[in-house]
Amino acid sequence: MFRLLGNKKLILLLACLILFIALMGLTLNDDGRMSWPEKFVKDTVSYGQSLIYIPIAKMSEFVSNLASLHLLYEENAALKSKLMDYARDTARLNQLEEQVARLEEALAFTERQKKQNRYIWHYADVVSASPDPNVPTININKGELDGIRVNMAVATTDGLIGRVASVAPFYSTVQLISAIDYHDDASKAIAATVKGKPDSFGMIERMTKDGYLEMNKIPATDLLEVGDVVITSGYGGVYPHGIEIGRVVSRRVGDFGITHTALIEPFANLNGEQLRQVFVIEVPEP
Amino acid sequence: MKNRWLVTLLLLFFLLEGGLFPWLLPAPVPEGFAVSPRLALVGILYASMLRNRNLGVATGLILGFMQDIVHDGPMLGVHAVGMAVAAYAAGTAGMRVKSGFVLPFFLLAIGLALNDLAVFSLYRLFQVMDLSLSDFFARQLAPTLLFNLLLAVPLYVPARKWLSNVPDKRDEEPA
Repeated sequence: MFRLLGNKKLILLLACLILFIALMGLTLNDDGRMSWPEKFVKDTVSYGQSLIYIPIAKMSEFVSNLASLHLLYEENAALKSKLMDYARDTARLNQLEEQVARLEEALAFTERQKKQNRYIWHYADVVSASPDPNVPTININKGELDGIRVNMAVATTDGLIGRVASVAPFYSTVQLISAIDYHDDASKAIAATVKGKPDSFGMIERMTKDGYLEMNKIPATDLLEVGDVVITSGYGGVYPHGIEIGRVVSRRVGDFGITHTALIEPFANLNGEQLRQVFVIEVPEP
Repeated sequence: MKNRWLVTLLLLFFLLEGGLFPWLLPAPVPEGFAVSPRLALVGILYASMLRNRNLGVATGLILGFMQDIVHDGPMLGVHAVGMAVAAYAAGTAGMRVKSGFVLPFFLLAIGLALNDLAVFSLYRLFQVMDLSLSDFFARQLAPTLLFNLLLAVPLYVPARKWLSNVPDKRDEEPA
């Protein structure tokens, strides 16, 4: 029988094990704060990844554009009709904004109250996606120096995809909402409501195995129905109000029989794969 | 000199994992199943098996920490432990297996599985997720092993040629 480990090695191994477990315990739930070596490593590696990811994303888009060339005519028609809608909506928006400003003036809104709904949308390119399926994150090429902070909401043009989990000077990491899990203190539940039914309420706390978001704690008398569009409600302070999340596909009585649970099909692609651009949403501070 | 190139190559592999593979993975992975590319780990296991165990363990630690930092794992050191353990095991067994074509892939599979198991059990230990063991085996480990072994097969011959024609340094260590 050969000896797998010498005595000295065994002790060294045990010491390493203790060291690592201690390290893991200490760095668990660190609220997205990073020490400077971490920031340095993250920025350097993310830069390297961006050199690969961004050109490939462009190439892939080019190829898929070529493949869909024959759809161009239809797409153009659809976009033109969208543009008409847009022009109409802009006129209406101007009117409404004027009205809101007047009413805010009349009700003596403070500067903070006026500003709280004027989000700043930071555009960012995705530079890499996590290869570990248990930690679904993406890295983006905006960081602390661009005004990104931990816990800002992140969306694509389709809908909400996650929140900023940690920030280095030039790059930051976005935790996708597919990581939401009530077992994990590092992920945050989303307070949600229904578009057009502001009294609806529920908490999105979990992603099911087949890719639906589970919305819990819906009051039994709530007006939420299958087919409704679910948006963030702004309660809870992490996700600002009004970002689209997904569509309700089913509603049932929850586990304890007091509240209801709904399944929501997210609008955005949450696989973390093949995302190109995202928007980080900053709520202006007073 | 060759070691330096090897480490550079492994770093490149690591960049490819996060940068290229999101675009390469077979698109219709069914919802709920997950394939994770472990190209860097495959490289590390080859380096550890065919060349030098200590080098494998060291690069495993470095790249594991990089993975935890760059992709913001819930805590630091999880992948470092997984990769180092896998590299150590593959290196120790690889010392005794110098030839053959099936056995190295068997060792490789064991190394990959060890890494994933270590990561899974540490996440479970610290309660950062609630995936069950059977789900983990069926939905993550099996597809991941399959994908990475397919990835590793074409790399084996060049790796063996490039890595094992220098005098072996493993023999310096007392076994």
